[in-house]
Amino acid sequence: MEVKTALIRDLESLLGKERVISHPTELLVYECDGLTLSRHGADAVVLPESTEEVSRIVKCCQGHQVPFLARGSGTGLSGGAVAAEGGVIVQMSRMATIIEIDYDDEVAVVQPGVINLHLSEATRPDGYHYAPDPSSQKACTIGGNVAENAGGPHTLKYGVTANHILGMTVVMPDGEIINMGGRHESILGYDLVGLFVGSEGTLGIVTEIIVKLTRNPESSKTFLASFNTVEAASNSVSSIIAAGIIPAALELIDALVIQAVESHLKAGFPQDVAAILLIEIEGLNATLSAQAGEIRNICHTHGATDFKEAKSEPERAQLWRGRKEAIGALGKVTPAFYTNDGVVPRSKLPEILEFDIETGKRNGLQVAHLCHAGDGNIHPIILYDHENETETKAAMKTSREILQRCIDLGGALSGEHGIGTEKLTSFSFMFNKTDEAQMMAVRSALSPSGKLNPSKIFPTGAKCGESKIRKTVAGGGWL
Amino acid sequence: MSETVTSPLSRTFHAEEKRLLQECIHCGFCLPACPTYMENGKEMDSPRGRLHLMESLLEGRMNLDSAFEEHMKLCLVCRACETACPSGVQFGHLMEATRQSIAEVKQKGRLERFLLQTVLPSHRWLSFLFTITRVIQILRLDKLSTVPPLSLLVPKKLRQLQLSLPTVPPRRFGRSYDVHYRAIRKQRGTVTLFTGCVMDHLFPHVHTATVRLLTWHGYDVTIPSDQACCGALHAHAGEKSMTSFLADQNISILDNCNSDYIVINSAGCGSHLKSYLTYIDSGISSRVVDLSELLAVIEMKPKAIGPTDPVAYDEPCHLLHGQGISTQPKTILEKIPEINLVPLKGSDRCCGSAGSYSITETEMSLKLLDAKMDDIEASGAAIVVTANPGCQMQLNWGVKRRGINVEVLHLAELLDKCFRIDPSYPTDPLVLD
Repeated sequence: MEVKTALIRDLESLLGKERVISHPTELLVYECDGLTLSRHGADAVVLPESTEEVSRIVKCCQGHQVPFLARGSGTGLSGGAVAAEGGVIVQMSRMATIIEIDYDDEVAVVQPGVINLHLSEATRPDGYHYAPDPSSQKACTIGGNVAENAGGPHTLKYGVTANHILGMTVVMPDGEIINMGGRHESILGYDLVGLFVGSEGTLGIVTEIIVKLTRNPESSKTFLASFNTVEAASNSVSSIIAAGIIPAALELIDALVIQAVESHLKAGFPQDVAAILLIEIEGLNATLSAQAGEIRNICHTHGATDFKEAKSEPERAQLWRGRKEAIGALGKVTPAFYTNDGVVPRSKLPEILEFDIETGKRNGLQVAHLCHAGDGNIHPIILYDHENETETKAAMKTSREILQRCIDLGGALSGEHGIGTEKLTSFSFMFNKTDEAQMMAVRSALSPSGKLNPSKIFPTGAKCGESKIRKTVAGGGWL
Repeated sequence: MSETVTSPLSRTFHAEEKRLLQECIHCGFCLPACPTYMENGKEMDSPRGRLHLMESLLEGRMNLDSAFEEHMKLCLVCRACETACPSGVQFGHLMEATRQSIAEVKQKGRLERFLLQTVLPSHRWLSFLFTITRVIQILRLDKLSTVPPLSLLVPKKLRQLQLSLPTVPPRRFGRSYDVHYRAIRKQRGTVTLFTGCVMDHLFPHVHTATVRLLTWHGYDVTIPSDQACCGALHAHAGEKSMTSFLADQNISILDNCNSDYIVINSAGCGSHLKSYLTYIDSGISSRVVDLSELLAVIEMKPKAIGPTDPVAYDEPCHLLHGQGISTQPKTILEKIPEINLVPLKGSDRCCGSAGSYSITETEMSLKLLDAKMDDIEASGAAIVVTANPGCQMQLNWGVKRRGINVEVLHLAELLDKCFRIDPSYPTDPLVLD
């Protein structure tokens, strides 16, 4: 039986009953995002339709002293869009309008709930696209991309989300509405846009975003290179980068992932190989052939067994569908998996891939790879059975060992998924107490009450939720 | 998943269904493909959310309450999420299993039970009710029922149904005896045409056009007399015993016809029978094809001239998502000489018809229809082609509501019109006794 609290009644008077979700059954679906093992119940979910409404919701939550956070499509893989300490989820799915497309200034103004791919689809006929293309681009929102500073295969050439955001309208943790940045690059004052992008929704709720539009390349070529060992594939990646070539995308996919993809999606990946590289180059038509030849040579030098070009747009699209939806396809081969988001300097790629597989073996688990190889974002995927406690613990151990190794090699905890609730315990691998205190000082200045998206990013900043999380980690149920 | 919990779902979720449910890894790729999620932005009305609710109910974390039921009912079972899903989760199957469980626990309304159990499976009942409807339409009583005081007497759902129905033709297509049509000129093969219920009674002209097309292209066509409703609506409603009864009856009839192909020109029936056949592993499944699948492989004769007006193709969900058929109808249309095909934005999105959905979930259905009509108007099409009776009714109703000049045709009707330019094309197919 649902008992409406004063908070719910106030939210309903702001938005109407239809836009406030508070029934316990309905709230269950908001308990996790793309990371299913980190589950936390919210007290309410609200669906605002304007910046002003978001502001009123924020003020209402502060008035009731309850935590709150924004959520897009919930495709994130670090548990960033769950109510770790309960409270209110501000669901942005009804703020999904492309407000303006301006080709003269090469910008678009969008609401945060706009699906990443929808913006590129809207501008494609006119020869433009929105460059950051996370694998979940078919479903993730641009607001979520801003929060996590999302990457994607083509960020190798074009840069991550932060490189494509010019300005934003933000509802601050006290409900104040502020504008930052604009339609052009600016170097004056503090770079607030830079601060907010990647802040994992802990500093404010973005309600309008000015993004750069990127002109489509004159020409592009997509290649599929096959290898009999993962090592040969990763050595090719290092050599391509060392040769001074910057492909638009350079992805490594290993046999386990190929098997999952081909069991349902059928992208056309060869099934009798250890690894493939999906390589895309783009630019002026005249320059591509020489570059293609050079890449082909490098791959063959490292023992590529096959090197072929996608012959048509549908063939190219199918290869990319295979790559981008591979994570989802893993449901076919394993009851559960955990995607590690570690990063290493590109030269260390062969070393870390070998280490991952060895570590998995040592812990009795299989580790698959789906790497944004070009920028060293390795994405080892640890396969396990979530109903088997020993395996779950082993998976957690494997992931921590891999992350530790990434850091030792001069890399990072996360390339694009963020820390969220997921990497709280490994935060200290990368940041010391002073680093954390500096970041916490920024957060405390902007969000003094700490009610906005608590228990994310910082292990010591977390309050009651943190002990809950830690406890589950110790029990092996959470990863 | 704990095995000790007895969930209301456990009767229809066996090991296989539980395994299928596990294939969802919560990636969320299905969200933007789901018409109801895109309309109201609520996770409970997304495929991932619905699967999450199913799982929670199965795990005993919640009860089969009205909220659960509401979100399951709001699903169109358009299966667009299946096309979007990287893991190939068979959402439609899981939703049907869920609705079976709901049907076991909660009894349906009297009118719904009467329609599903008595009317749809019976050509007599259908003829009787459609004849009354025809009389009402001729006397313009249907218009009368929309204004007070009559509107107060007729139930809202019934009024909705009346309004959305097309003009009822004088007689249905099927007969009480088997009918055989002979191939024109050289015989290429044999076909059994599945006629269905709504299609048989409300769209006999589509069946006639289909027969003319098939005989003209060299097929003998048989129409077995005892065929019944395919049972798709029953499956969607969770009526398990009636679903199996109808499917078995149809399969035994179709199995007796030794034709090369069993052609279905209704996407909904085709999708249902095909998936039913997969589960019972019947020998006839390899012969069941949608009309467009068959027409795509035979060489269409060249004299056909397309309409000069712009044509758009709106993909029926149960053709595109249910059967994975998309290029065939498009290729057939593209091959029509001088056709002016225009792109239709959102042609892969449900029009809101979804079987009886337009009656049971009218509000959402109308929102989706409005979005569809906006796209149709923006496309500039004067002819919209579809391949399913439900879509045809819904789109026709959308056209009527807007008062715009757009013709809605089944693919078979459009092709039939194009071929008529040839003097040797049959006006009536040859009937063999």
